[in-house]
Amino acid sequence: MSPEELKEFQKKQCIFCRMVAGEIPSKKVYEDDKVFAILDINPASAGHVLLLPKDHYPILQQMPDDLVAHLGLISKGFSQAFLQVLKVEGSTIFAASGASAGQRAQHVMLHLIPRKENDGIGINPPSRPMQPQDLQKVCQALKPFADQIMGVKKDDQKREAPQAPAPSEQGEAPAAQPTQPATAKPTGSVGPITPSSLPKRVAPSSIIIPKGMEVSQRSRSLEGHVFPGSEDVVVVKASPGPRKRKKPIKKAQGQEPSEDRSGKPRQEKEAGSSLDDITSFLTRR
Amino acid sequence: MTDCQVCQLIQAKSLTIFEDEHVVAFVHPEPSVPGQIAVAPKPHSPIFETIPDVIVKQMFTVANKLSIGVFEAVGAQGTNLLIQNGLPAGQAKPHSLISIIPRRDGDSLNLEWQPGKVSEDDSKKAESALKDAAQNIGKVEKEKPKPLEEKKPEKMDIQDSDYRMKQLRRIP
Repeated sequence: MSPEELKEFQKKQCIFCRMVAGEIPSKKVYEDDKVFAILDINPASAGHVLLLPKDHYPILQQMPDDLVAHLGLISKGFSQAFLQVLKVEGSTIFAASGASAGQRAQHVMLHLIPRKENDGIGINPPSRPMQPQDLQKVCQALKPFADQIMGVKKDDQKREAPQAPAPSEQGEAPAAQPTQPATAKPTGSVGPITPSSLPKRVAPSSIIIPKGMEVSQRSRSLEGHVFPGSEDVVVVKASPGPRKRKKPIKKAQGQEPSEDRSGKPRQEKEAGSSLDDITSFLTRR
Repeated sequence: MTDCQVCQLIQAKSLTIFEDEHVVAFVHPEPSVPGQIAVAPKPHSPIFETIPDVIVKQMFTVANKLSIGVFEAVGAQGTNLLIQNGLPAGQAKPHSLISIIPRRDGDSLNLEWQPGKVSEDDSKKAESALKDAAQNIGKVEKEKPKPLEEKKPEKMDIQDSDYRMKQLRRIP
């Protein structure tokens, strides 16, 4: 059974997916294109909301970033609504991944629980203070993993960052074909953006698949690429390859930009991969 | 600000494991389980509702990503993301944060709750009240991120070497 078939199968079995589809009645309180919010059947308090993504994901870690961010936003909205409408004094936002964490259903969900003083609900993990040197040890153990994981995030941020130097980017993008592993900064802060630290520009239609995630056989047969600074696989879909625009631009432009552009087709011929076509296409635009 | 323990930790950077322009992730100084991480907004925000939408988004993505690392780094078998918002929910610090709690089988941590005794009436009242309020949830969320997206092209256009700008300047 391929991962896609398995996902489809899980979706059919999942009662929450069937609630989203409307096959099972539920007390829906909110719905948009990505998420779905219902009242819990066994509420901890009045107004206990379950916030679910509409797509089926078994655990939170498998979800795409923008969807997780959207869940966060909506949960903030509900938390505000609890304070305003239900006249409560606080809220608990809780998510569990894995059976050891108390996850029961095979569908990601956030529990949004309105809280009042002395309501006896619990969910208050006791704090067990640790010695400073032990904390440092934990910090050092976690940091390499955090750097590795957030390296991907750093690249993402830079790609979105508007202050990316456009001129150097034009020459750089197709040229730096082999990966330059982004050196993980100790604090992971986003420093000044240099052309070498910029990720390759990839087509908007490309899919970035984090390392370790299941890739279907069909996707694998497509063009695979290593994303700089991470071990992510970038699967690029069919290249648009619009070569018509090359000549008019050359005629129109006299100086610097034409240097960049004249350099590009040469590299394009050398490499000739579809990623090159796309990057040059993007930068030309 | 300086009284806030979390703000001090953010400035000291001694326990920081990740940092960007909006959020800081650090090792929780008073964890329930060793390896517990806290993700906090950089600006001082006493409760979750006061955090700007952009930062809330970033907090959730960072927390979710870091929770992947916890599996390998401290050998967790599961994770909990927890926001304790307000004193009744057990918020301990005057600075809102997301806790990432690494979990293992038999770690003697009980985060389960008993279903409360909620009457049908209360439940129905809450449902209708939330339904009304929820119409605004989507609106607030859609309005706020937009100005940020609009700023992006502005900044791009300032580039002097952008050939599109050159053409624009020629027109007048």
